[in-house]
Amino acid sequence: MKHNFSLEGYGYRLRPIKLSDAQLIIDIRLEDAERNKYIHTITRDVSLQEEWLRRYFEREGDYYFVIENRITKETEGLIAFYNEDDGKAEWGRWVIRKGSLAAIESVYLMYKIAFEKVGLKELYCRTITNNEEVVSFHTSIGEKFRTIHTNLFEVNGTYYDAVEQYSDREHFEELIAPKLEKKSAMIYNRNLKRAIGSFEFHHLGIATKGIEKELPIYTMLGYEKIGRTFEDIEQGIRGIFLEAKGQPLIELLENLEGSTTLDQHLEKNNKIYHTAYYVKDIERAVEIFKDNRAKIIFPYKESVYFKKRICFMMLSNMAMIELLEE
Amino acid sequence: MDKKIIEIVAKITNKDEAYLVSHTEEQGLWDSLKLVEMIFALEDEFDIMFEESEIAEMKTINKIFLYVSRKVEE
Repeated sequence: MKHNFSLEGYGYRLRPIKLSDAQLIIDIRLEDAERNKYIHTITRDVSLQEEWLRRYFEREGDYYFVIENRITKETEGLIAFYNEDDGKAEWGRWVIRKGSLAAIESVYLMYKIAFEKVGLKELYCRTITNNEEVVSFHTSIGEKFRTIHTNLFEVNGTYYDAVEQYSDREHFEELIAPKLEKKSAMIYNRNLKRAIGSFEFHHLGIATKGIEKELPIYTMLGYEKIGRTFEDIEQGIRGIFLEAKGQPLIELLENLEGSTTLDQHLEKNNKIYHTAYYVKDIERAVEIFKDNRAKIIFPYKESVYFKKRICFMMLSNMAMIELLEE
Repeated sequence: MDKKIIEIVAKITNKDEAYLVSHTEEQGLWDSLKLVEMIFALEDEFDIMFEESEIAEMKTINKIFLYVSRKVEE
């Protein structure tokens, strides 16, 4: 059916399928012959696929999604739930491009849409028993076994048994979601590193009312100075780095005379001014963060301390990050 | 290197190391969830990063051996 449900995850998003996705469906579904032995053959004829989509748009209780990579913007798969009846629906039409890591998060996002946006109480899937990898995936993520359907599916003239596995909302939230969410975050971090070469935490920038005044507090916490204080006239701050074994590197910051750079943080007693990350490709990193609604606060400049390019950005939750070129 | 790879695969797939060593061409030993875990573990262990095209081909132990050794040599 025509719907407006979409959901952004960590590394991937689901969006509603459109008529213009007809060729995409053909390309993805026909990409892997090995995988296709357990799915119905589809035509390469775009016009026939478009006809199918027109009928789909008229069909109630059928929700078809495209899976997109949030970093690269590439389409990486398809997923759907359908045959909605009495608060339950079957999920499937699940195809992921070869080599993509979208599988885990696509299932996570689909479940969230089904339960939280559509208001379903259960999703189930029926997988050909011979398709052991997929059956194993469903089991691994924590879906419960219900039954085996004898000769349920006919593919290219052959009948196959199918195993039915399912989850209700409570089971999903308690057992499946935490597992999938954790893996999704890990995959996102990996994808991010791939896109920008590296992405490593470097230091926390701490807003102080005076470096010398607050230094004894950090000394008490085990910190020692690294090098000397430095001044960044452009940013209007004076800073010094501190280190302590087993603790994050920190940069104590104070306003230069006449500067108001840190005032908003100081007024609210907000000590964390920014979190800094080393990135290999700073320009690509800025693009990716901008695509995720981050705004540039201080554009590229050479760091007074590191002698490499830095860029300050505000994330959509008002947290500030510093990207530091490796 | 191969021994470490077998250790990692055995731990994640919950299969006996001896079985894996004697079934290096067998497909279907892991599903996509376990494959993701294996990729993370191998990338961390060997400080490498696989291409999507390589991940798509990782269906047997021998393929994993091949792609890890290629990456390590790069």
